[in-house]
Amino acid sequence: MGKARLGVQFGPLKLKNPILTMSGTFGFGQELGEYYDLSVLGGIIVKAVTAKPRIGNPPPRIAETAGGILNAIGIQNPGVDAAIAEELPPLQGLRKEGTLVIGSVSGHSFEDYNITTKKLSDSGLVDAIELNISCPNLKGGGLTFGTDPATVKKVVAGVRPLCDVPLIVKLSPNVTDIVEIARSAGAGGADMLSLINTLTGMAIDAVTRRPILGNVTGGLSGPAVKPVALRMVHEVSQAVDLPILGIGGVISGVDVVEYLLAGATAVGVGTANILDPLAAPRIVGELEEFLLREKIESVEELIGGLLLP
Amino acid sequence: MLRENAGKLQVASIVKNEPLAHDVYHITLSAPKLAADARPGQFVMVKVAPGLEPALRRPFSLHRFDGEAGQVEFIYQVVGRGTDILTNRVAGEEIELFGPLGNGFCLEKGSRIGLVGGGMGIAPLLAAAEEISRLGREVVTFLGAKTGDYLLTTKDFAALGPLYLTTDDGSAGDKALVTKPLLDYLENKKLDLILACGPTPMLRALSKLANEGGIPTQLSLEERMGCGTGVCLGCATAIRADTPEGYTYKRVCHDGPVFWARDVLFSVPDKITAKGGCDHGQG
Ligand SMILES: Cc1cc2nc3c(=O)[nH]c(=O)nc-3n(C[C@H](O)[C@H](O)[C@H](O)COP(=O)(O)OP(=O)(O)OC[C@H]3O[C@@H](n4cnc5c(N)ncnc54)[C@H](O)[C@@H]3O)c2cc1C
Ligand SMILES: Cc1cc2nc3c(=O)[nH]c(=O)nc-3n(C[C@H](O)[C@H](O)[C@H](O)COP(=O)(O)O)c2cc1C
Ligand code: FES
Repeated sequence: MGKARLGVQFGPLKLKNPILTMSGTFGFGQELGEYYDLSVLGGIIVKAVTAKPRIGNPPPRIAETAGGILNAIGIQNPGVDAAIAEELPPLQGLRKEGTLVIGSVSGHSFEDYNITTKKLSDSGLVDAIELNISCPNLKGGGLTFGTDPATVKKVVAGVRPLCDVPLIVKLSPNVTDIVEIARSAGAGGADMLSLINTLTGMAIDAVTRRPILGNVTGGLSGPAVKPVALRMVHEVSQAVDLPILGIGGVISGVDVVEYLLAGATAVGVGTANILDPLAAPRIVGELEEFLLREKIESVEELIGGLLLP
Repeated sequence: MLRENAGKLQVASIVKNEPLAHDVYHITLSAPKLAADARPGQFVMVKVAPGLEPALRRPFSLHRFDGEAGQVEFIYQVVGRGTDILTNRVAGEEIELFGPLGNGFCLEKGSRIGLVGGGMGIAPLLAAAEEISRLGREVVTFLGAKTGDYLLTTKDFAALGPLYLTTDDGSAGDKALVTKPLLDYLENKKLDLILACGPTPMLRALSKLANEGGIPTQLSLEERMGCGTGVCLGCATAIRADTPEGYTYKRVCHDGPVFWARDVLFSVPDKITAKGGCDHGQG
C-alpha cells in the first residue's frame, strides 16, 4: 500500500497532519494520553485558561440533544499561572515529536486577555495561542467580545504585540455576519482563524418545567452543528485571506475532508473526543484511508477544492 | 499507538436482560476483561445502541462482577430514552462497554463495614458487600426504597450479613427512612466505615449523622456525564477545598464517583457560584 502525505502548512505552523483536538474537549491532554500516544495528532489545543482560576458553573453542565450536546462548563480552569506551572510542562515531550501544543485564552475584560496571552506566550510552553473571543466582557456591559466587529479588532490588536507565537482567533458563530467578524480579527492582527465555537442553545425538562443546565443556557456542539460550521468556513475562506481551522461536529475522516474542501487548512475534533475516547486517532486513520482510496497524494490538494456550481 | 486504557472499550455480549420489578431491569453481560479488572464502586459507560441516537454513553454502577465467570451485572431503572432502548436489547446481542471507570470504594480499613443504600443506590453496594465478606470482614446492610418492590436483590445481601430494610409506605421492612435503623444500630454497636449510595436527601442526612458520629463515610455520587474520561469537566460536583469560594468542582467520573462524606458540599452558596462562561455559559 502506498502512503498519502498528511502534512499541512497552517500559516507559519507545520502540522504533521491537519487534525487538532479542541479546547475544552481534551483537558490538558493527560487523560486521553493514557488511551493512545498523542503524537499521532497534528496538535492539541488545551482547555481555555483565564488570568485567575475559575470555578465554573453549577451542575448539571451537560445535556444531550439530537445529534449533539449542550454544555455549560463555565470555563472552569486552574488559571494561567497554574497551567504554566503544572499542566503544560508534561506536554513538552510531544512538541519534540512534532505534535503542536496550543494554548487557549479566555477573558472577561481586555486586561484579562492581555495578561493571560502574555504569560502564556512568555512561558515558551506553547507553539501557538488560540484566543477564545466568545466570552462576555464583564467590565464592559457583558456583551460578548466576539459579536461586535470593533470590539473584535480591539481585543485582537490588544494582545497581538504581547504574543510572540502565532495567534489563532476563534470566532463565535452567534453573530449576524461571520465574514465581517473574520475581517475584524484579521485587521486586529490574527495570523489564523478558527471557527466555530458553540452555538448558544438550551434544553428544557418538560416534566419538571426546568432548564436542564444549571446555567440555563449552554453551547451546542457535535454533528448537529456541522452544516452551520461548514457554511461559515466556506464563507470566510472565500472572503478572507487567512488560514482557517475548521471546527464543528467532526466525527469521521470524511468530515475532515469536507472541511478541507470548504477551505479549512486544519480541522478540529471536539465533541467526538467526548463521545469516543479513541475518536481522534481513528479520524486520522480514516483521513489517510480516504486519500489512499481516492488516490490523492497529499492532503493539501483538498484545501479549498470545493467545486462550486 | 494505543495504550493500555484503550482496552477499557470492549464489546460484550448480553447473557440476559430481564425485568426485576416494574421499571427496573437486571442485565448480565459476558465481558471477561471488565470482570477481571473491576473493583467495587466503579462504573461503566454503556453504549445502549450503536451510532448517534443516542450519542452519549450511559453510566451504570457495577452491581456485581465475577472474574472467573467473566461476567458483569448491572441493575437499571428506566427513566428516559437510553434506558428504554437498553430494555429492548436481548440475550446474544453485542453491546459496547467502556470501563471500569472511576475510583471505587476504598476498603483498606474497617473490620465492620456498614452499607447504606436508597432506591437505585442499592446497585453498587452488592459488589462491595461481596468483596468485604471475601476479605473476611463483617458487613451490615441498611436498604431503603419507596415500596417493597424496589428493595432489590435483598436475598443476596442477606446471605452476607445482617440486613435492615425500610420503605416509605411500610410495604416491606420498617416504615421509616433508612437512616432510622442505622441510628438504632449505632446506639449499641459500632461501624468502622460506612459506604453509601442513593438519592441526595438520603446522602445529605447520612453525611450529617456520620460526620457528627465521627464515622468515616464514603458516598458514591451521580452527575450527568459527557466523556467519562475526565476531559470535558461535565460531571462536576462541589467538594470542599481551600479556595476563595471554599469549594472546588471535582469530576465524578475521574476523581470519583466515590468521595468522603466530609468533603461533599450538597449545595453551594448561590452568590459565590460563578454562573456564566462564554457563549452564554459554555466552555
Ligand atoms: C456513576 C453513576 C452510576 C450510576 N449507576 C446507575 C445504576 O447502577 N443504575 C441505574 O439505574 N442508574 C444509574 N445511574 C444513573 C443512570 O446513568 C441514568 O439513569 C441514565 O443515564 C439515564 O439515561 P436515559 O437515557 O434513560 O435518561 P435521559 O433522561 O433520557 O438521559 C438524558 C441524559 O441525561 C443523563 N442522565 C439522566 N439521568 C441521570 C442520572 N440520574 N445520573 C446521571 N446521568 C443522568 C443521561 O446519561 C443522558 O446523557 C448512574 C449514574 C452515574 C453517574
Ligand atoms: C464540553 C465542552 C467544553 C468546551 N470548552 C471550550 C473552551 O474552554 N474554550 C473554547 O474555545 N471552546 C470550548 N468548547 C468548544 C469546542 O472547542 C468546539 O469549538 C465546539 O465544541 C465545536 O466543535 P465540535 O462540534 O467538534 O465539538 C467546548 C466544547 C465542549 C463540548
Ligand atoms: S464526564 Fe467528562 S469530565 Fe466527567
